[in-house]
Amino acid sequence: MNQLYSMAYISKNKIPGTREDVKNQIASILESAQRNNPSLNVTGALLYSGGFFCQVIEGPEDNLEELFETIQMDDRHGDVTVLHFHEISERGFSDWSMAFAGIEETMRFDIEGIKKSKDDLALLETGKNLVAVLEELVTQQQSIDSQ
Amino acid sequence: MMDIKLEEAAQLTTDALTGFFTRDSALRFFAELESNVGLTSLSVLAVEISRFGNVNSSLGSELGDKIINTTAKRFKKIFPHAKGIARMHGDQFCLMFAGNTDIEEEVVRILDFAQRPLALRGEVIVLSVRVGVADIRCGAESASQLIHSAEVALHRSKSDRAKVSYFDAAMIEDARAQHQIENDLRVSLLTNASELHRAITNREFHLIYQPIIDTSDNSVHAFEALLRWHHPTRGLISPAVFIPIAEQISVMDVLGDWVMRKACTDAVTWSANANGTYPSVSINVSPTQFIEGNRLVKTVAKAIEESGITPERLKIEITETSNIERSLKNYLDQIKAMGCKISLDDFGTGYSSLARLTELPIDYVKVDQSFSKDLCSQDLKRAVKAERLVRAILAVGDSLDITSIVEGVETKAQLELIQAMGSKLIQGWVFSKPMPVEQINDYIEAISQESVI
Repeated sequence: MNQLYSMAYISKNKIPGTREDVKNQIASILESAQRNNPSLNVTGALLYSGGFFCQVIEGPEDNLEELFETIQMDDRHGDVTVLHFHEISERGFSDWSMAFAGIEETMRFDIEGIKKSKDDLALLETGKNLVAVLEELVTQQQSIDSQ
Repeated sequence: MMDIKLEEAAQLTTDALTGFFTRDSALRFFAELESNVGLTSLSVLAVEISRFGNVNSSLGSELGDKIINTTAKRFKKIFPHAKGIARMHGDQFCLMFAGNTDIEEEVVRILDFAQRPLALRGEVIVLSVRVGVADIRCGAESASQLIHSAEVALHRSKSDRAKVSYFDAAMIEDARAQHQIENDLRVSLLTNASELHRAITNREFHLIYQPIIDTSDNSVHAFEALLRWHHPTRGLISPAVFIPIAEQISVMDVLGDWVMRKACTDAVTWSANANGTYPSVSINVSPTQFIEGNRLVKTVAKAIEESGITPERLKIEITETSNIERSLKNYLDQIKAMGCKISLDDFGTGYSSLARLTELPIDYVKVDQSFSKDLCSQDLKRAVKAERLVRAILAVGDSLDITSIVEGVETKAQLELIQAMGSKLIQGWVFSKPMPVEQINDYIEAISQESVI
């Protein structure tokens, strides 16, 4: 029953502010994720892109459900679009309770367009892209950090 | 989380799945609250998950329970200040507030949080909720009336297809009239699935058929299947009454399945026209059946397989609606791919744009009877206007290469005029009222022997 699942979602930041505000907010999100996720056996990565949180979380299904409910009920964001929620055979971010992939000024995915068209395939495709982008950014981040 | 200062509250029964009050307890609790804090400070939200029956039947009741449970937990989280929360029945909740509550703000919160996606058992589910609101402004004289008012408002939000409805007194009268009919329906359709099956086996539902005539050779082009309900105590109930209710209470899918299978099984017993062709069967599909479009596609496939009908003889009639899902085209394409034909009903009365028409795989449009009924009217002005409109609509069909069918044709004069306009497929009392399936073969034979009008 408790199979490994991956979820990718994009949500809108409801309390945008200056770059500094956003940074602080992300810091607090990362901090609570890094504090809570290990006990849930959840790993993942977060990107802030043009006013949106783009996040991948992976872990045992039950824990992922629980975590997602907590995330959902957070007043700081809204308009959550789940790009995918499916079984995986191995984690993409196994080293990270919550890797941070950076802050970008402009939104990288056409989330409004996809939502309007209600195209499930486009959602899945964007989910795949998001995972790939996050993996790439996290790896870059890692090599910068290790220099 | 609830501020239960009331001694009795501890003894009130709760719902096993959610831990919320049951309906009875909610009424007692709220009456007690009224005597403690006074009626004027109370307000109520009645909340219902739309089309939960569909969710339950497509995902299973175990997941259905989990959805109710998770949603209940959200309510607890977002309404820590609610005095009481009740699960009134299946998919309906009631939130009770006292004191200084900004009820509009609560409505906004519930619409926001209850409609955020749920991720459960590998499924992502986005619920849609409706809310009925009642507070001191609605003039209720007791706490239980207040709850009832919120429920009436909730019910109204369904027929208005609105998300939120605030109670007003005029709703009571309307609600009473509809209430009895609806209760019967709920009882016979909703309490358990076998009730519906029983209504079907008892032949409370039946189909009658109205022919569409090809006037070029007096053959029957198709028979349109029309659903009727002969209620054991109330007699014949108009589909205009029971279909919207069936849609609201999410049983249209089940009923629609039955219609599809029954009509196909009937159609294979029909004899050929004199020209060797077999009449098609035209089946109306409710827009709500496209919400679970995959199910509809499966039903069509199953009906074809079970009955052995040639798919080309099966026509799906859809109606114009403004808010049909984007995926409609996809489902229609799948149905077309099986060989079936698509017909657009009530053409000209709804919302379809011409651009939309060309996007959808439509074979036929039916010119609505509201246009044909004024043709050849004694009132010359009306007659001329109707004629112009019908001509224009036929021209639109022609230019898009879609065959027109004119329905609601009652007189010989109308029939001749429409033929002169170049339309040969005609439906209406001028040929026949709807008939029971037993009369169809005689009718096919009889019409071929009439001279072409």
